[in-house]
Amino acid sequence: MSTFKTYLNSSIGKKQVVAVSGVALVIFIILHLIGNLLIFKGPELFNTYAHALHSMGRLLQVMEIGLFLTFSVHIIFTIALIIENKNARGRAYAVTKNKNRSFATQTMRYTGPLVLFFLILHLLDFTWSAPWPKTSIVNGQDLATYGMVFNALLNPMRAVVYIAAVCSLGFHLSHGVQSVFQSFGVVSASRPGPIRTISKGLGYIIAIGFSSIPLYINYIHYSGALLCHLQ
Amino acid sequence: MTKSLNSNIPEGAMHEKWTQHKFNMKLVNPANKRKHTVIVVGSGLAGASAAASLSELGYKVKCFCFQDSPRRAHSIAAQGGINASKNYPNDGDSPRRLFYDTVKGGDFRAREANVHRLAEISNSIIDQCVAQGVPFAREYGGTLDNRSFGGAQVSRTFYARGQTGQQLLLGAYSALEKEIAKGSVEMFSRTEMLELIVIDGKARGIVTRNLVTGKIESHIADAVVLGTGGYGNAYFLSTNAMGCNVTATWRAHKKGAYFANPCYTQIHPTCIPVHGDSQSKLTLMSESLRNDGRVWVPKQADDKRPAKQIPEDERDYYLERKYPSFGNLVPRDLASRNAKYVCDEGRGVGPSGLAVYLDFADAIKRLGKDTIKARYGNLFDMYQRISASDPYKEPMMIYPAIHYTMGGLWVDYNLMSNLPGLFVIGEANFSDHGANRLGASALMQGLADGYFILPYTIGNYLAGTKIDPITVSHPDVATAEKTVINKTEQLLSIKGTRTVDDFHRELGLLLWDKCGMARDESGLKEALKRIPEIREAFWKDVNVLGSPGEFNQTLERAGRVADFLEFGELLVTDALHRKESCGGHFREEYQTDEGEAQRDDENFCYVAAWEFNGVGETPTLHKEALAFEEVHLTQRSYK
Amino acid sequence: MSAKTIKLTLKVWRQKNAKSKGKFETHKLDHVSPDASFLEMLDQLNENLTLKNNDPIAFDHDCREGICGMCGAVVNGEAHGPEKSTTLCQLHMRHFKNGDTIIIEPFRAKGFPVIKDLAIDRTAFDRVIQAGGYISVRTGSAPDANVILIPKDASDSAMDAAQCIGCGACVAACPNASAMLFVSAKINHLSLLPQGQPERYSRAKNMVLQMDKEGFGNCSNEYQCEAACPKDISVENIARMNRDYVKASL
Ligand SMILES: Cc1cc2nc3c(=O)[nH]c(=O)nc-3n(C[C@H](O)[C@H](O)[C@H](O)COP(=O)(O)OP(=O)(O)OC[C@H]3O[C@@H](n4cnc5c(N)ncnc54)[C@H](O)[C@@H]3O)c2cc1C
Ligand code: HEM
Ligand code: FES
Repeated sequence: MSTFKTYLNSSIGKKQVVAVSGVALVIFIILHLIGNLLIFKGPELFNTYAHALHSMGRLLQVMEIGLFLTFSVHIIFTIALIIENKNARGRAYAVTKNKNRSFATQTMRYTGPLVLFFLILHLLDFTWSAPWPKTSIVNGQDLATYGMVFNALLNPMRAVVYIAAVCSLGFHLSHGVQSVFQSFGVVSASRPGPIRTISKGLGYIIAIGFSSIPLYINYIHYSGALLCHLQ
Repeated sequence: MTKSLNSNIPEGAMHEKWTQHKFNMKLVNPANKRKHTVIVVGSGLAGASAAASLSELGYKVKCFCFQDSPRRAHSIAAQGGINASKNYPNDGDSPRRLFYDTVKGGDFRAREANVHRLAEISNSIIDQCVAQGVPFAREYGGTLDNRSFGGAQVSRTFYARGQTGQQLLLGAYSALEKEIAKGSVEMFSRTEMLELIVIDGKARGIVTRNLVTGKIESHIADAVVLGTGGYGNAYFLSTNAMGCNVTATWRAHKKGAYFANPCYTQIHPTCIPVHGDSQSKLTLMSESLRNDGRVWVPKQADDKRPAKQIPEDERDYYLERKYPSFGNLVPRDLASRNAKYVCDEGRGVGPSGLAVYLDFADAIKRLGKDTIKARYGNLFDMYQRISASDPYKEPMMIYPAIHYTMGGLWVDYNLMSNLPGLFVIGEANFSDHGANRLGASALMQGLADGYFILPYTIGNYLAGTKIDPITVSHPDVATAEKTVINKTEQLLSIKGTRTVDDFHRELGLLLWDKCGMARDESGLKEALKRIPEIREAFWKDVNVLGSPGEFNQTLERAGRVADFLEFGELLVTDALHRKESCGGHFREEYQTDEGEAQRDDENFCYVAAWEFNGVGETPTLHKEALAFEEVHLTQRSYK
Repeated sequence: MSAKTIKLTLKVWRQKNAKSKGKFETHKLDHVSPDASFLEMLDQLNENLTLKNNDPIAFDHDCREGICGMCGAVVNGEAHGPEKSTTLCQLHMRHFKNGDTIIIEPFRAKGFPVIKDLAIDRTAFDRVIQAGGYISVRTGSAPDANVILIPKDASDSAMDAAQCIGCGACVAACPNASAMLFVSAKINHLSLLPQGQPERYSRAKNMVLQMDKEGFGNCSNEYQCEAACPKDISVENIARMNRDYVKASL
């Protein structure tokens, strides 16, 4: 077997692939968050940003494919690891006791798929054509992308799902980021310290940052603040 | 009939014997080495180092141990350190001084030439271990650190925290695993040797039981090496591991190998006392504690007050009182024996009355808790874990326990027993420690034997001996296997009413009582009467469940206890015959006015090697006279 | 040292051999001394079982002082039981209360097949060592020990890793039955020392590949191994091994 293949097949190799793809996704998520937060600046700026993205054409497509591949790699390698890990134990213990194992840590394999589920919903909502009606009309005005996002997240069910999903993602990252450091041995994240703090912090930022969007939309809708924007 | 033994000590000046002997020995042609198979039983420091080194030379090696991995041999438990005469501290050490200290420490009952060789080799051992990656303690400059140990006035002990044995064994084990990976050592773990195969007067193989499947198998070789450790577990409670046994050496003894000096047993003064009936083993607390701890008991017998409530003037610091110049630092045997005396007087402490205090209150007052913690922190933690009492606040309770056995199978200068082709190394042989071993010398001896002596001497034997090719279908092999199978079946068929441990405990208590720290004629005679009775009861009433063809730990233990029950008689016989006191063998009748061991050099300056004549039969004594040319016979004094 | 004894209910895993299915068996045990060790408590149970002609429980042990690494079981969900930095043989019954129910299971992992009851086969660890857990030096070829100067820190860190007793509690406690703590401790003991440098990367690579072959799981950085380790081996070793492994592989 070639060296690289051996590496990819090894336990540490696979884990490091999950970590690299994870890091790529983290970078994407951070950029995505920054972009999305433009919602706070009103429809005009947000739509300009959305338009700019779409006018990238080919480049956007390449990025989307890249993103898709990254997700696929992350998921496929993760699934491989999970299957191997299940087999490695064999019979389960009758009782187990966790020692300082955080909620985020224990739920990686659940928060990940939750994010995936949401991602599909998210793409159906905003990118692909969905089997449900979508509209960008707000208060009789066509607000383009802004309107589409606004309408989708105004749906209380949708907002709850959205918030739950980004919180999952937050949890995922609060374990995942420090894990990357350990997986590559850049520095050990074994003790509470800066790496663990960064990891948790990033998890919170992502969760709070994304959650703020549906909350904001609902707030401006019901408080009437939206009308100011539309002037 | 008593016959004298030839120890094959080379001619020449003491310091040239080994060099000259190495030159004189025959060599096996490199191309022929792989045609020779050597069996090494044991994977402790002695066995693992020997198996690895022989394999490096090109021999085919089969190595055996009863644990699940060779790394778990009881050498792993050694704490204190390993001696070598490097003289790194520049305090005047030399091979000659190490030689001198060891002969004297052994109370003049060791073979001078062997001890000298050991001292010469000691330095290479440290080199070898460091190269293997043993993380010995270091100074800030990056050089090796030394500490001092009992019985020496120089600092020559190398150590790796409190886990020197572990680190040395991991070094030897890694060398062994390297050779296993190469394919030239075949490792049999969880495999117990149950018989020695002797054909035409030569040791040619062993019969083993696979402890997982119960399969009985024979292995044939050109030479058999036993590195199976000591027999301290004959006493039931000891600092040895639960599996330590006399089985391998005893069964070789029954096949003709002489057993030398079995009565030389070492008792360690600082062990954690027995807590009750369920106790299964004793834990050693490093001797170094006596550097700062003061040993005492109440002056009054049956004083049940807690230590704190006993005022200073009602305490008896008996070691300081009796030995003003050495005080609490007297050698192991004196410290142990005196603890026994005060307990016999009813002044022992703790619930059982079988303990003395080791008090750090003064040291803590003088040096501060932090200093004491830095010196002994891990020992204090271990003590607290086991006894649930805080030694920073209350004095420790300690009591002596069986720790090491100087006796073992007799070997000549080449480490070969009287049976050609049977080599014995490490604690299993009667060793270089005479009647008493100094601290940190057992690890040195085991590795000297395995790395640097046996690989030469075994070549000499193989090159100079005609060894007929045989296979496992040889009729003597079948007979040996039959013996093993019969014994196993017999043990399983008794289905009596008492457990194996019950018998073991009974034997152990008897040996401890009559042939422990202090011995006398009437006690030894009583033991000689009792042991055959216990043995008989065992073979009538022991309950060993299960079948032979499975993982059966009771069966394993039963076999070992059966051997202890035969061996115990030899131990006592030897103690009774040696009408003198020396080192670990203290006969009440033979002491100076000051209560010191009194040797009888006129009549007992020899190695007693016993020949087996049948179970319950009186063994035949063979003597190897000891000559002291370099270190002159003197009486020890520690006043 | 108290005279009071306690009474326990023990649910012990019984499995005749590697192939049989196994099940829990419940035993009551009275008169357990709080000063007894956990293994001495099992001895006591075994004595009782033997006297009633019931097959005693098989469990591995040897030194009973926490250094050989032979003992081990999962006690109420924790490898080596509830005390920190303590092997099963050094766990004392005073940490349990009168009337407690104790569930005792073997270390469970594909890489550690059960031999009988609580006894398991850990030879996988030996094979990992065979793959490279040594320094290739022949007997007799070593230079004087003080020729190799080793900074005290390096030597101390190597010793921290070298203290591993190879008991397998890390595998038992890991949610994925991963052996990374053991393997990394072994790799780092040698890679932290100058003597270990020549084979540093090939050693890391070969040992990791052997570890995978033995069927252990993958590390998901949950640090349960460190929490269970009786010798406090740090997961920093895993980080260091991961680093060496990428370097060795790419
Ligand atoms: C608690 C303690 C602390 C000590 N501290 C020190 C110290 O600080 N310094 C020092 O110099 N010495 C010390 N000693 C003494 C020293 O550790 C031992 O004497 C030495 O390690 C013995 O090594 P060995 O290789 O001869 O035997 P062991 O290490 O006991 O190995 C015996 C081997 O033989 C195998 N075996 C036994 N019987 C059979 C059989 N029937 N079939 C198959 N295999 C068998 C075992 O599996 C094992 O592999 C200490 C001893 C103890 C108990
Ligand atoms: C935006 C989306 C995602 C991001 C940013 C992300 C990020 C990460 C990161 C950084 C890690 C840590 C890697 C390491 O331990 O070294 C990780 C691990 C993991 N991811 Fe994701 N991930 C995302 C989506 C997903 C999805 C969709 C799944 C599930 C299908 C998933 C499942 C997992 C699992 C199970 C792990 C743990 C693997 C292990 O510990 O062995 N992730 N992720
Ligand atoms: S029996 Fe040796 S570590 Fe527990």
